Amino acid sequence: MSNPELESDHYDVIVIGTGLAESIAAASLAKAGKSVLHLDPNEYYGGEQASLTLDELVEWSNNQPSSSSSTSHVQYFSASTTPLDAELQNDRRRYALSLFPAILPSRGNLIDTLISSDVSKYVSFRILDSISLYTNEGEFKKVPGSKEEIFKDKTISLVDKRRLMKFLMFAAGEFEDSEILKGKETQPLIQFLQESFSLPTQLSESIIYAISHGSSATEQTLPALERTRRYLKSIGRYGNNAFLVGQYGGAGEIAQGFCRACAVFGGTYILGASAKPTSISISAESVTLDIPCHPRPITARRLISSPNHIPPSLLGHLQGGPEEPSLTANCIAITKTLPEALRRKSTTSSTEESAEEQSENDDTSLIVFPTENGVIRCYVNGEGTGSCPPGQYIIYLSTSLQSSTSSPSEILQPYLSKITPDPVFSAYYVSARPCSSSVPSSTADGIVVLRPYAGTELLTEGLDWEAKQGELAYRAVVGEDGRGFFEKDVSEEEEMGIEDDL
Amino acid sequence: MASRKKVLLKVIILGDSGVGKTSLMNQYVNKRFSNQYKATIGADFLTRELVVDDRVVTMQLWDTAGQERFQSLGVAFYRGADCCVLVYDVNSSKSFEALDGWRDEFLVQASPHDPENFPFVVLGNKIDMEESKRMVSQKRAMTWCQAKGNIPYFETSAKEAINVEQAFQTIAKNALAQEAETELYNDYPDPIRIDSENSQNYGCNC
Repeated sequence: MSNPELESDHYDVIVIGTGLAESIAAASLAKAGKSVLHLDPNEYYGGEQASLTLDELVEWSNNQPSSSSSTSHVQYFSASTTPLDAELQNDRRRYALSLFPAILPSRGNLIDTLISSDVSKYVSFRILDSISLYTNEGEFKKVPGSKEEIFKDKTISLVDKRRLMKFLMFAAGEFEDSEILKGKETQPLIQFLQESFSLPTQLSESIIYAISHGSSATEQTLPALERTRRYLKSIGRYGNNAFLVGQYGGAGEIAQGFCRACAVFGGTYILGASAKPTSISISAESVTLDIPCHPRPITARRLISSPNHIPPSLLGHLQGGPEEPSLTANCIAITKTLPEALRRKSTTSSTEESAEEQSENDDTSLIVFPTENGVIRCYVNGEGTGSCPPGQYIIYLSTSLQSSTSSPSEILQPYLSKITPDPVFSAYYVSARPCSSSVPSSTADGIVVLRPYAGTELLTEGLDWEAKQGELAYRAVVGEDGRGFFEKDVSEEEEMGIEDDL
Repeated sequence: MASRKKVLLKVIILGDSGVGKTSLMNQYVNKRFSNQYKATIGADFLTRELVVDDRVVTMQLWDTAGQERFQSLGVAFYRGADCCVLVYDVNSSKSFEALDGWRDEFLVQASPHDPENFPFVVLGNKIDMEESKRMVSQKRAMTWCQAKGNIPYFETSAKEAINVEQAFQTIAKNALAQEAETELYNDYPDPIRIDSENSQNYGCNC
């Protein structure tokens, strides 16, 4: 297992970092016949989207700075974890803990890319079992995900059911030209729901936080509706919920699938300290970099990277905008007891579907706490996701932060204790995401910079954002007239045709 | 395993670059051999149906896709493996000495439930070369296999198709036994796989 030298000193494209967007870009370029060298200074795949084992997460946490210093790339700080007991230590490699906990809408950029690239064959999913809202009464109320579930729900009056259905039909349709929306595109969503559809407050909040998955009741109506439509159209594609849960931590596993696809198309992979560039320079014609494991400088026509691997001097004058980064408090916890929100109430009468063998309780769930200081989202992964040992659950919590001095555990711990009274492990940290405008997409001719997700809906939008970034990077390299993104060869099409005939 | 559901076995093939991993797969699945060595490009996984103990099973053979060159095989590659094949070149001591590392790497990354009993098979490839070039004796290889818990050992030639069928038959048999083991741990329904065929539009629910 000794290190050979690289076969070449020159590549069409060098990609630094194996985050999801980078990996998609690398795979699509290799597929289009470009020679690709893909480097990651980390020992593991996935970059910002990595799934870590428990010991890796503790090490990762120990390596984060105590405060944020940059506004041009994603940073993590104020990180802390509880110690690992003997059992956790022993099982440490059986966990896949995501630094980018996110669910995947069944319609959108990433699903399309998984299918067109055939990377779908490397990854597996489960349908999200439930979405719950924490009510003022201190209960977890499951939000009906489909027409049938709405009709079965005994807590909604018949009149309100009609109003809700009317809104859902509206939101799933071509509302852009609708008279109902005219002039109200920028109205706060809650006002629109209450005035235009006569929806009561509680039902409106269910729509905002658990169907539209917004962060605020006062979000503008049009963008919220556009997102809602995509989620509604996602229902029924793979099951009775709009969202899929990636196994083994999700994003990091998917990124590895794209890296494998890139390797299959001839891409070269080096991970770890020996792949960390010691210098990067650009000229009119090419990008040159040095890495410890290769004796000579390596050149490439193009360099693709997220901003954190690019020296600030090369990010140029666009580096660091005037805007403050958006801050998020995060928690990753493990429990060995079933969270109450995942318990399936026996009152919900069994349908034909459940005659099939099914686990008694939910294995995956999204739980939303609307609070005065903004929405707190909780996402739970059980053993069916392959990301923890049997009988355990991974709990992810996140919320927007107003100030970088707030302690993530002080804010999130009260909500963690509502989900589970006795976590066996917890990690807290703050992530700082630069505002999109402060990250350039292309600095000089040679470098394509991938923008990190900057919004507040990372849980439902983050994966599709990454896929879009990967596609944009591909197009920046091949140009507008180049071959299509993951376009199939004629011979492949023929091969598929032959297989069909057999 | 009471059910007679379709059995899919995932087999991964590890070993240093150039020992013939891709050639062995190609010989077994496509009955083809190319003398021209190129570092693996375009190899993904190959599948072959075969009968083991009266059962039809589909064996998926996963190539390293060249990611072994700089030890950059990610954990995703190892997930769900039912058998691990370790390949070395009998004409290269270095590739034989690397087996320890590959075995350890597998056990760490794949973290099988029962590492002591996880099925490995060792293949000493390229026995078609002239005897004077041989660097690793059969005895030395078998001693190593015994020390590691009696790993089955085959000497093969992907080029001359020597012992390839027999080796993979054993691989499939041991993988099937392992698969039956893991079934016991997993009472969840199969995960969803995304591809254009199983994307069903059973009407919009709204």
